[in-house]
Amino acid sequence: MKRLRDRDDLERMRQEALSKRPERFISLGMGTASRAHGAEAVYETLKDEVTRRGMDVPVKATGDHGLCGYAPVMVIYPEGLLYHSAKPSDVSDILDALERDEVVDRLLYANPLTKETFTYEKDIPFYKKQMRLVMGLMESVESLSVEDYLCYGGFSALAKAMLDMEPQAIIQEVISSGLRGRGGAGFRTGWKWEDAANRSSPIKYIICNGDEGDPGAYMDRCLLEGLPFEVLEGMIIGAYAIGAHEGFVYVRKEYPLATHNVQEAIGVLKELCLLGNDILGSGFDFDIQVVRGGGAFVCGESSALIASVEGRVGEPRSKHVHATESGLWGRPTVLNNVETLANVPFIVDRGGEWFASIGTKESKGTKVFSLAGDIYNTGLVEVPMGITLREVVYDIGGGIQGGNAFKAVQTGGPSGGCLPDSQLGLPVDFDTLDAAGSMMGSGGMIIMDENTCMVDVARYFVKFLTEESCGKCVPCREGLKHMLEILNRITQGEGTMEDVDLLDELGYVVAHASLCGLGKSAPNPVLSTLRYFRDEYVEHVRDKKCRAGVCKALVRYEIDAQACTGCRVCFKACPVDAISGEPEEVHVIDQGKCIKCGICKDVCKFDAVKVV
Amino acid sequence: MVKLTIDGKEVEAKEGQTVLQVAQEAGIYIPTLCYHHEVKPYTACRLCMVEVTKGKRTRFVTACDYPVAEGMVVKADTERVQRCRKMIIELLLAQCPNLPQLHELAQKYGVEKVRFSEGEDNCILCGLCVRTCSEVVGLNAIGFEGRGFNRRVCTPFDEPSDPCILCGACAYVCPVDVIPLEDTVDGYRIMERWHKKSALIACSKCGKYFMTEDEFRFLKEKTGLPEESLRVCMDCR
Repeated sequence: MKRLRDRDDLERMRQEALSKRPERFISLGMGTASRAHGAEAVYETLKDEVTRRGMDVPVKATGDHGLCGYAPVMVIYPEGLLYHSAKPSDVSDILDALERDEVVDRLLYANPLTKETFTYEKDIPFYKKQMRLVMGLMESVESLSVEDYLCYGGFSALAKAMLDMEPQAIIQEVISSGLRGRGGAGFRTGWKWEDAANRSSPIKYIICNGDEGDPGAYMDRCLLEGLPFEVLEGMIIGAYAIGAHEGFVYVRKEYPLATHNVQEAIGVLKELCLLGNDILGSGFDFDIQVVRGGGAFVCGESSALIASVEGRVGEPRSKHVHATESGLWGRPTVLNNVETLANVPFIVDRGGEWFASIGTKESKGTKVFSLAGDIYNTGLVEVPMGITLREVVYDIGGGIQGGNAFKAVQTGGPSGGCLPDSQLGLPVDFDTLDAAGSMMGSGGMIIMDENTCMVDVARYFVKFLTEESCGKCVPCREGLKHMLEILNRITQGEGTMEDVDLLDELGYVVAHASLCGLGKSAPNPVLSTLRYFRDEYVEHVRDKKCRAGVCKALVRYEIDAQACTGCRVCFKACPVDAISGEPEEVHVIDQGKCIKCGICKDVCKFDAVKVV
Repeated sequence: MVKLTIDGKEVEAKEGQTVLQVAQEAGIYIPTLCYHHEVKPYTACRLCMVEVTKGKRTRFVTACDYPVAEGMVVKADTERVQRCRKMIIELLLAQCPNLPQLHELAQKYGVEKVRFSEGEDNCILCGLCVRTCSEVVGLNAIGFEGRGFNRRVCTPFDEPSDPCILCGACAYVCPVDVIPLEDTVDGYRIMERWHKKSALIACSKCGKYFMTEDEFRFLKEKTGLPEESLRVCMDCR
């Protein structure tokens, strides 16, 4: 690859790429979510078949498109025709149809409720209410093709920042954009940069935090896999703004594809001299290394992450002294989340004021959420700040599966809070979610239906956090351990009303006195469920009842004599021979033998097994 | 010099001092377990947390590492301070039910009973031994293992730690006296917790055992002092 010495070289390369840019191409999501659904085999078949037929249709391997529950998703451009859940065996039909200007109906997206089908991506409700900015190029840019990224305006922000702007002017744009950290805490990025820029140290660092430990959240992974050049562009601009000559991308060990793609992308930028010495003739030097995390959740916390990069145990420290003053190896360090950095090129390109026109008063721009749980459309969505939770759950998420009732939405990952139906009108905004007892966090969003026990949910998340607590400070280490013990007691029907009060009391201390953000936010699942679903705790304790039928110790399986046909399916399926009854007569469960595994309920075709 | 108030008392402090240092000098008691002036603040026990107001903003911080500033108002006895302090003592008491030092603290702060399941540990995981070994002695003979409530202090792989010289600094600094150090009559030092045993050296003047052979070798190499002077105990020097 040719070395880009200045802006002219860059623009020449862009023009050359543009001249070769195909109008018709097939974009196939090839991120981890898609690969898990078999996208690699589809990709290979598609490429082979296109070549065999001599078609002039490039196949682009892009990042996950977002509609991950339906992966592999492919979109045929320029029309924007969307096929989902494609298999290698579908490829020849797809190409036949393409050659004949037809559509493969069976692979079109259909609304799960109304069965209405949609031919074009832009018409699908899942995409309609989204506002794709950082994910905007996900489908059109081949992940590892720098030419493709250039075709869509890539590195124009970098050239503008480094050749037309003083570092201070870039920082002012970022400040006026109102961009806040997308990793969880929501600290203002511009202020962080300004603080670091004002330090006189000759050595400064910038770190991209791609640790993303929240179970179910994968927006950073998707960006690193799908648009590594966008993230790196934001990072180089950040480095130039603060005066850092060395940067680190910290990726968790569980993300091999993200690590690979970022490493490849860094290699390409080095060849092009967009990383290295005298970038684009600006006189500015900057280099990036990839550091792989060991997998501890706490290493997403800034001071623990810095310790981990330094090669020490990933434990947090007190943060009276900010990293921007003394961070990595005691030098001024800016640590930004992947998504935060991916926003930067857009801010530089279109201006802070433009960015600030999106969103609410204190939360600007867009936010990527990973939707999971009991909804139809699970996957990654990017929405403008200020959109209501209801719109995300129902309009984008498609509502609750199976016609069940909505119960709660948990935002912000394992240490986020659970919000009930009454809070669905809340706008997505850092401060509003905080005030409601939850948080923005890194953008996990789990939707739960009526079959979810909120006490069990709180127990589940506290268990995760107890296991991930580093154990350094007393409130987090000991407090969480006892919160988990109490929640275990309550879900086993052995809790008391004092236990419920004690949870409140412990939650207060863990939230106030813990050393780092992990501990401070860890009680959220408990405190928010106590706030919005206290009656469920009381039912578990006082009535020994779990209304969702989740807590095994509090439920019984019974066979409804009216509905049972004596088909013997449950009789055969029961692993402990707890069911008795003659053929074509009502069956009975021996409660003494029953282990409450629920298999009888699952296998019964007549809905005769009831949880009471 | 900066002026600040702690619990209503006006005090003067040198820049760079911590709230805890200034409070101690002013005779205002703030409880600590993981703090020792010889090692860096660790902020793990969270007992020393106080409310600090600077300008309009009030923060809940650890006194042991929070630097003083002009006009700062420190409150070391608010409701929040009390609530957290009491709970932390109760949690530690549940973790280590048999430590007299914790019972003393419980009595002082009105913790009457422990409402949690009790453990059998006797180490509060303040890390003073680990940090003293690393920061003062410079040896890193012991460290933490495990995460969360499985955390514990041990030697690498629970085997006798090579670098350990049985100097006993860890035992000396332990705020709850749970690192036993035994000097036997036949001239050995045993530290069971670290699976170590070393022969003792007698003072060349008074004949009293006063240091281990490992420690002697370490000091000789570190200081380069002549052997004769190192063989004399502190009392006889």
